[in-house]
Amino acid sequence: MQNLVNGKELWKTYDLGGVKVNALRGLNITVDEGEFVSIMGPSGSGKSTLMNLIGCLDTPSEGELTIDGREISSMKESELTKLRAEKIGFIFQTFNLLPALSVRDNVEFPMRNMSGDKKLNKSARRARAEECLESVGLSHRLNYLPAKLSGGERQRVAIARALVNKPKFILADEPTGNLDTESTENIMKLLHDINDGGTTVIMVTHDVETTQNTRILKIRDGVIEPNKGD
Amino acid sequence: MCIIGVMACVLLIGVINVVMYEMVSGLKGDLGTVHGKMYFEQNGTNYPPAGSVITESLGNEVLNKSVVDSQKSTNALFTPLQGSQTGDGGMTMVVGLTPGREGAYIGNTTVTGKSSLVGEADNAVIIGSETAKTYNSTVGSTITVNNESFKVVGIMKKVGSGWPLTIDSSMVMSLAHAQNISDRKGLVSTVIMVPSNGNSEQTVEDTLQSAYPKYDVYTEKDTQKTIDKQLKEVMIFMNMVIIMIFAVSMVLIMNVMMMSVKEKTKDIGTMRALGTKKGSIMLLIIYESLILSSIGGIIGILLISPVYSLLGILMGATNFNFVLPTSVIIQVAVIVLVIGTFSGLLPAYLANKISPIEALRYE
Ligand SMILES: Nc1ncnc2c1ncn2[C@@H]1O[C@H](COP(=O)(O)OP(=O)(O)OP(=O)(O)O)[C@@H](O)[C@H]1O
Ligand SMILES: [Mg+2]
Repeated sequence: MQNLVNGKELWKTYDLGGVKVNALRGLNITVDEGEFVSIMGPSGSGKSTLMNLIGCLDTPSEGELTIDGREISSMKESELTKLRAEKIGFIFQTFNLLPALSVRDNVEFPMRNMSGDKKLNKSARRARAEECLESVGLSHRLNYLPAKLSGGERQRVAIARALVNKPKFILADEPTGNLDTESTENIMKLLHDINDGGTTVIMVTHDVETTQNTRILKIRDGVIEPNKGD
Repeated sequence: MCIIGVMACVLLIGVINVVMYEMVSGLKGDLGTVHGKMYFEQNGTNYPPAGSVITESLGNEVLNKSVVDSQKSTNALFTPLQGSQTGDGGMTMVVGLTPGREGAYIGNTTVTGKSSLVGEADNAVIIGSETAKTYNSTVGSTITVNNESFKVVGIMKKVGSGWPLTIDSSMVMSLAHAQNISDRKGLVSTVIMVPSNGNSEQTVEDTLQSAYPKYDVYTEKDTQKTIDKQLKEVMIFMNMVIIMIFAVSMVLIMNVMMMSVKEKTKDIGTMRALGTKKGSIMLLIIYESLILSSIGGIIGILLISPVYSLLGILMGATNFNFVLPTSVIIQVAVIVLVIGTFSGLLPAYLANKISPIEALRYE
């Protein structure tokens, strides 16, 4: 199995006006292609910080991090931006749909960030957006604005948006954190379907229920706790 | 709010531009009436040559010079009509000239009725459009001014802004009659000259200047200079006003755009996270600011004409049929585009400073 994420001795230090906060303290992580990984841990333990690194939104202060075979620590911002557009699908706790765009346009949006021969024309983009919305069961909401949707529906739109560029992996930081039980089940089923289709999923969660059939990584004080079984 | 502000600014810039345009085209019209003509006059007098006094015999001497086309040139007496202060504050100018030589003064201005005084009564006059308005006269009517009555045989089409006293506010009559009513027998103000065949204006000027060093030859060039001088000060002031209004609209839009960027921090962060390039974010912001300024601009441009007409009516102008000149529209449109682009730059720069991580933490 191909190695997708490989982080060695990752440190992330924030400088809060002179006070140094070590959010990650020499953390090691590997995720293989096709895995479904759940990251758990107390508040402030560094889960989001780690997700930001894996998501190429930030680079580590120290350590090596390769994403799909490429070392990202030394990459320029424009390269990181390109990598995000092409390889990564993001799902956020607060959905983060663009409020002025319709459901269809929201899903279509990441395709506009592609460049070169990966850039599709308008009609192909529309078709792909509708295909993804159908896969999350929202074909009947194409022209709605996000504000008119329920939380569960919004997160499904966000999932469709994350899928639209056929990413290598999906990063979901507490995707069910703002949802009721029924929507949570619904979203988890979708994420597992996506994972069954071959896309790697890395998820941060506080809810043990959602970690069924996933590999659980526990993080505490900026490092991953060794498995009790080991 | 901001759109109304931009609209008001565009409106102001537009109206100022129109005023300047009208002024320039008015002055150009005046200039046109001097075109190709030269005025022989007393030293130090200007145009119109009402302040100049020369004897008719000197005038005839000048007319007989070989460099002057005596058939097309004429002695002329310019006298402002006493007590003819019009509603606009202008004065009617009596221009007496030799019948048959009217062309020397009125050039190819279109005349309704007769364009020549030859064969007409002693008190026949051809009047400018402003004069016609002032005395409410039509072709064929008789008007009474200072107890003198005049028979209007022709009315000239409007050529300029009426400044300085020119064709539009003139009253052209025979030289003899003009001398008679103004009590200036044997005197004229000027000789309006056209160079004779084969001679340039320069030759005429040089010849006359050396023959009569105590007199002036006033030409189109001098008129241009006078007009330029008058215009320059007004233009500088107007342009300063425009620059200020320009700055106000920029600040307005910039403010709105900065607020909009701040409000959209989360969205911009989301877009960046999803792989939108910095350049695209920047373009988006500039595009939005362009749209804002264009909406204000279009409404403003549409309102220029009615507002200008309204101003005209408030200032007492009648029959206002004003068409917004294309050049003003283009000028204002360019200004709007520049405002839109430049006021988007700083907000766009701020938008680019937004880090996706910070923005995603932003609630
Ligand atoms: N941009 C930042 N600047 C300064 N400190 C930060 C920043 N981001 C995170 N931190 C700090 O780093 C530590 C880890 O934060 P992080 O957001 O990764 O925790 P988390 O595990 O995601 O917590 P939660 O479950 O509450 O989301 C915290 O102490 C936090 O205050
Ligand atoms: Mg977090």
